[in-house]
Amino acid sequence: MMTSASNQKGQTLIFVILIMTIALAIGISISNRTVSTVKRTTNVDSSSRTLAAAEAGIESVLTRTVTDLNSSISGSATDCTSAYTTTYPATSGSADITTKASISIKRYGCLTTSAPNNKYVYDVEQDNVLELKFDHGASLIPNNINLNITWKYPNAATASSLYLMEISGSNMNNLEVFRKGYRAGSQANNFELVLNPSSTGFNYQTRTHPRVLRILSLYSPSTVTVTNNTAGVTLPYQGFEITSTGILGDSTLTGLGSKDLVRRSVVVKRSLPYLPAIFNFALYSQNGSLSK
Amino acid sequence: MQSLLTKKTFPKLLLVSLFALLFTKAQVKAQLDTTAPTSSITLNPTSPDGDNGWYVSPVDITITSDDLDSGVSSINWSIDGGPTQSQVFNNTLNQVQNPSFETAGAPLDLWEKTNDDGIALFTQDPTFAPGFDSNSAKIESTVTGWHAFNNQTNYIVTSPYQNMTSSIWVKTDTAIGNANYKVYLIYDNGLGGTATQLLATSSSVTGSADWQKLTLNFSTNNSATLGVYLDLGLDGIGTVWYDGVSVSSSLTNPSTNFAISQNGSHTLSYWALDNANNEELPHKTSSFKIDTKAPSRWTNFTLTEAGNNHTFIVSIKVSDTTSGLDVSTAEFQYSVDQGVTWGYYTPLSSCSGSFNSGWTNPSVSPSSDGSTTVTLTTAAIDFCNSNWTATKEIRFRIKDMAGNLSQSPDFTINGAWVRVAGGGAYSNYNIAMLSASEGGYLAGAKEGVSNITTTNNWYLEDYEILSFDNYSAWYSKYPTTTSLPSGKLPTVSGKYRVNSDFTIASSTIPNGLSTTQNLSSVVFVNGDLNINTNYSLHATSGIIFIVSGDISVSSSTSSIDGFFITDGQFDGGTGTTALTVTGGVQADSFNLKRSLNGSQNSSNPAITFNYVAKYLVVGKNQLTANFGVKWLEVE
Repeated sequence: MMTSASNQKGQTLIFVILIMTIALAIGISISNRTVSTVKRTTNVDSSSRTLAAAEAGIESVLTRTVTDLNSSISGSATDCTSAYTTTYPATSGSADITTKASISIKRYGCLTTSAPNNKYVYDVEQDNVLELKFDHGASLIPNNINLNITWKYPNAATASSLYLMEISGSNMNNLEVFRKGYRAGSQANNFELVLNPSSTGFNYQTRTHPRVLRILSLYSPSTVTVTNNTAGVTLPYQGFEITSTGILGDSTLTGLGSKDLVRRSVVVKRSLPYLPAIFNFALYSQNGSLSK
Repeated sequence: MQSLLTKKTFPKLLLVSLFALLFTKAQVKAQLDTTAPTSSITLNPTSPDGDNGWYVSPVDITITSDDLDSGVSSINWSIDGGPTQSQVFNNTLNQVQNPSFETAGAPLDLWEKTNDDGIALFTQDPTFAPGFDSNSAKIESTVTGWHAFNNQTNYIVTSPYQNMTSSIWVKTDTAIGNANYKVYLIYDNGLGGTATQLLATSSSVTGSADWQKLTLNFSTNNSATLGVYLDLGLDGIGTVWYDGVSVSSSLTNPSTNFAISQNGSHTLSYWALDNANNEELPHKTSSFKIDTKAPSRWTNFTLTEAGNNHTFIVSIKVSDTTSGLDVSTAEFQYSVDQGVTWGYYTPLSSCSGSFNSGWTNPSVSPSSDGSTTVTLTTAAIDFCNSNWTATKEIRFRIKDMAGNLSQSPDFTINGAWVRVAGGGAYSNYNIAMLSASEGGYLAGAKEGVSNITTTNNWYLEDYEILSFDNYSAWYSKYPTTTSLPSGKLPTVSGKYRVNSDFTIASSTIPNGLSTTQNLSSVVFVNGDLNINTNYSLHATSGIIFIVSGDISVSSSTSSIDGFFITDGQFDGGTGTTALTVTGGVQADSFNLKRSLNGSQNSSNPAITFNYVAKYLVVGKNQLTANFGVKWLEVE
């Protein structure tokens, strides 16, 4: 019986140690989870702040004029490689922790005749206009630019048509407008039928002294691919590509760099200004009948 | 082994064996669904409601499918080879045994007779509904009263408050009385037995009718529910067949409904899948053609003088790109008293003959039915005199091959007309010119384009272009408060605002405006814009007016230059002076009432909208806030 009692005391000790071990494990687990949650919350907060900084950087560029942006970037209107970098905000904040956006801006749409840099893809909303601008700078680009244009539309049942208007002329006194219409489906608009709009598309040669080619998407949105087939000619840029990286860093740093904590990047393309589709019409009635 | 088969273990083994047997049977039943579903289609209207097999209204389509085993899992369809569309169904397992009456008994396995009075005949019959094997249940009754097949003994086990669906195919022959089916609930009566309760009765079929599907949705609204059973019968005299019985826990019978309104010839392909993935093959098809649109685009209104200056051969073009034109239905009539009376003189070449109040036929070219565009040409018509201030009018009508009738606008002989030179003309309502007008390169409207020609025959017919910005939207992008210099039109490029009505008169036109080069200006007018005098701008200059109110041009004004955008009406004035607008106009509506003197309308437009490219350059110089932004990626 004595032996039995001793054994029971030992069992109690083991049981107590086991319970304490389990309690300790649970405690450590809860502690780890709490630390993990705090860390995750911090990460989410940091991520949101850097994304907001990146977006603020984009917005700061969108408010700037084309002339301002173009003059900030080195190179000519056909240089889509050079980049201009800046930060937003330009000055450091006084808080211990600061977020900034590091911004890089370069031109896009400078089409050479060598793949893959000979084509560019544009999304055009229904009843909206894509404008290709040819007349940057004082010297107009050579005449008769040869383009291949293909297009796709999201719903096979609703094929889009493209209505092209080209404005050409060496000066304001002799501007001319040339028009073409292309359809992919059975729309009864009498535009020229393009059998394979998304593959072969159609070839388009500009007039003398081309300035602007306006492409209006009808019936449906279009994804338009423009390919430059003009030997030896690089087309000028059609807008700006803006990359803004929000960075959460230590304000004691002299700039943004190696000790950054979190980074988020946003890339945005901004086209050159264009006029809406009503400027294609000499007569446009929003609600009433056109009758005489 | 012997020790296992003791008195104690044997009942357990027996029970396990029975469960195994039942389970195996259930498995076998589930695995034996090798029969594909069968689908049927109904169209509304049930047959073409136009001429020559054409529908002249959208076709409402219902596809129903049956699968008597594992149940329909989806109904699929494709229109004109386009993408497959599907509707998916859940819980469609058919819980009825011997649902197609293929297994004979006395006379049918698992089915009993209701009111077996020895007079009515209950048989298994080799008549069957399409898609349901080779037999059906048949009742021939020569006496009144309800005779039916029921599956009360082999009822469908279900739970309380279960929403369920049922369907059955029925055919009748000289039935005097109602052929239908009833759903009964079987429930525990609390006394150790069961009781029944009528849950629902289907619609009825009488007389002689081919196979049709009856359906019932019901709910087992009793907490003591044990199951449901069906009673398929005839209340009266006649013959009735039943086939394809289905009861499931699905919320809806497998059926889908959609409408096709697109004009043209269509082929609809449809099929169903069951829960055992059996596909209905070959896919069924249904072909039909729809033309809901009457002939349209009355254009190329032409007068050819024939003998004197009030006798003309009149011609007009009309189109129908869907079913084509029924040339024998072309007609015309005219009025020489400003539209008071309409008809035609006999003969047409003299106003001294008798006047008939009806319609008469023109010649039609080409003369073959189904032509998509034809020209209607009258014989020489004497419009009686050359007093063109008393309006003389003519109108035409024609049907398409589907039977849709189109009547042209009332065209004015020697009436005033509009020329759009360059650019295009568009209305979010319609274009309905009374005299032949010119629409530049592209003419379009939401609800029809008539009597306007375009350079390349380009049209956007029945097409609604999305709305464009109004004054507030424009001003919010360019919120300038710069006033016009000295209250006059600007000679310096920029954006200006007039926060009231503004009048362009000699007093508000600065010196040198017409010779100022490279002027790019936008003037916001928060009020009405009145134009009371002629003015011009240099070929390199332009002013865009964005107006919140109306724009009115005085009747004496003959030449203005600008691109005008207004939330209100553009009133081109009245009188007999021709007006030329160099630029363009976007307005909520137009009032174009000018008409030239005498027969001048026959050759000259009363109003010309002369589209010029300079406004595309001027606009881009000032309206720079309109650019595309595309967010490509976020990392």
